[in-house]
Amino acid sequence: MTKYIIALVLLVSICLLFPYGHLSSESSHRYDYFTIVDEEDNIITKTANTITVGDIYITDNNRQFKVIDVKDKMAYAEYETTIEMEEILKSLKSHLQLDIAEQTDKRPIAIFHTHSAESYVPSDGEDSISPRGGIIDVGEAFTEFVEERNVPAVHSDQSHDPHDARSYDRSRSTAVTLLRENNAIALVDIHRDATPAEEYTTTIDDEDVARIQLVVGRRNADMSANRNFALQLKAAADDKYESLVKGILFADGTYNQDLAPRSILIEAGTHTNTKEQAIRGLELFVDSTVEVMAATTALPGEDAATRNTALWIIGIVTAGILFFLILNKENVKDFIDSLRRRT
Amino acid sequence: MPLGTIILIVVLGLVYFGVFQTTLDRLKLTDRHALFIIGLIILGSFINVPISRGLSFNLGGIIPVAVGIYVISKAERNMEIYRSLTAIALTALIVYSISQLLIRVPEPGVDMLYLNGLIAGIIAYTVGRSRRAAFASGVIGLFILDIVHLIIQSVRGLPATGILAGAGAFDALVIAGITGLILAEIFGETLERITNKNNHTEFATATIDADKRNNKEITDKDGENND
Repeated sequence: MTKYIIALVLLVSICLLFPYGHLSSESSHRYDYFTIVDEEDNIITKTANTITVGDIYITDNNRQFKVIDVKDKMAYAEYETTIEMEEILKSLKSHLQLDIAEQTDKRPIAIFHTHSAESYVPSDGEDSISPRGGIIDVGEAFTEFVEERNVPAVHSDQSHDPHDARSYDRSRSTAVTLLRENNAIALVDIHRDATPAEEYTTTIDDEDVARIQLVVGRRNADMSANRNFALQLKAAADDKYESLVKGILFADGTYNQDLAPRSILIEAGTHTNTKEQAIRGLELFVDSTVEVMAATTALPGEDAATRNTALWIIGIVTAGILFFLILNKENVKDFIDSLRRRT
Repeated sequence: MPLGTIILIVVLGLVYFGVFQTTLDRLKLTDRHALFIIGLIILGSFINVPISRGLSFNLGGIIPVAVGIYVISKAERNMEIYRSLTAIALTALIVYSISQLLIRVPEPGVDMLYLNGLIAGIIAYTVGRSRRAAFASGVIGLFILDIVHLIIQSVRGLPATGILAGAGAFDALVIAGITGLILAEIFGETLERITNKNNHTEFATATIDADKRNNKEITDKDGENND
């Protein structure tokens, strides 16, 4: 018993070497962004999202690359295919026309911020402000833009600080509460990236605008539904504002996107853009994609993803039963007798 | 479909088909208890209970914490309780340390949703040496971290608001508890089968005992009734 207590005290002492959070008026975050290059060392994109082997990036001109190696902050990717965005757009437009014809009441879009302290240096003075970063203002603007287009929206300014690896565990509560209390149709987690400004700045209609990057977690069981949604958003945005969406990153995480097929993480510019540029970019994004987000019937590919998940569940349960049968092969007859009695 | 839903459906299926019988026996639960608890978790997920202004807890997410406390209290020896408490503390400390080590990275690239359960399962099996410790480590360990988070936020003068275990059946602590238990079960069963060649009857005994408790008639290999 004594040695347990001593071991615990030592462990607590060691863990206290990691002070809880680093939130202060001066940012303690090192923004060492990743650079993804293709086979000829042409830069595909830069992002502060951690890039790992297996990540996929779809560029603004719809070329899909897969990361095959990562060394320090350089990620090397190979070209895989070009996404037929015209086909996706065509299918989406005919679906949305049917949706409009049905005239059903729209369910709200839910907006929240896992990294609620993220801010824009030129406008907010710092890149991180707790508990309410500039990103909250950007989220409020996004909510207003949605509502201006006669779609209900609900915004949470709940803080999930500190910005550590458990932020997504904490924001999971917020996301589930938003979905449950509002019967929301889509879940939007708005962030900002951390790269040089030129990576995210463009001009649309003679105005400087912060570009948008979409992020999909490739560890979700519903990843194909999230992927479909992201491609449909990009298709709709490209149709109206060609340079607005800089790309789609399929990263090694879940980002709570298992909670709804229409879940997306939006990087609204970078910390070196102005907040106004980010808001302008989101306004254009909402203008071009709100009908996709709020579509009352299942989007193309949404039902197939749910069927795939059901098959996964059946597969896992069957595998579990087989595993235990293998470990207890002498008792297969007893197990089958037990099954008969239960069914 | 949310990860929590998938895990609960898989667990429901495995409990229904009797695959989890040994595990439930060690947790001092019957399969009916397990099905009832899962039902309570799902229904409770729709209920938030206020604690103070801006702070509440979700009933569906708290029920697994109560179950974790119950299964530890049913341990037959004090040493098992001490080991379980050690496993809970270690899980909380290691999850905390990993999350803080990665604090300087804007997007950490480590998904704690899966890692929590993996940590709980490994620690509980190696330190707690029990399935009940695995479940309790995941659930209570993460719950402790959520409470500590609120206390630290409050001490710093930041708002201590939110919903404890707010994601209910989909919460990280529920996922951690169940995945920790499943991992400890897989490690435990596999190791026990490899190292204990005479352990032929454990599964059969557990199944037969469970059926007796459910007041069903059973027959042995010769077809005679055994009461």
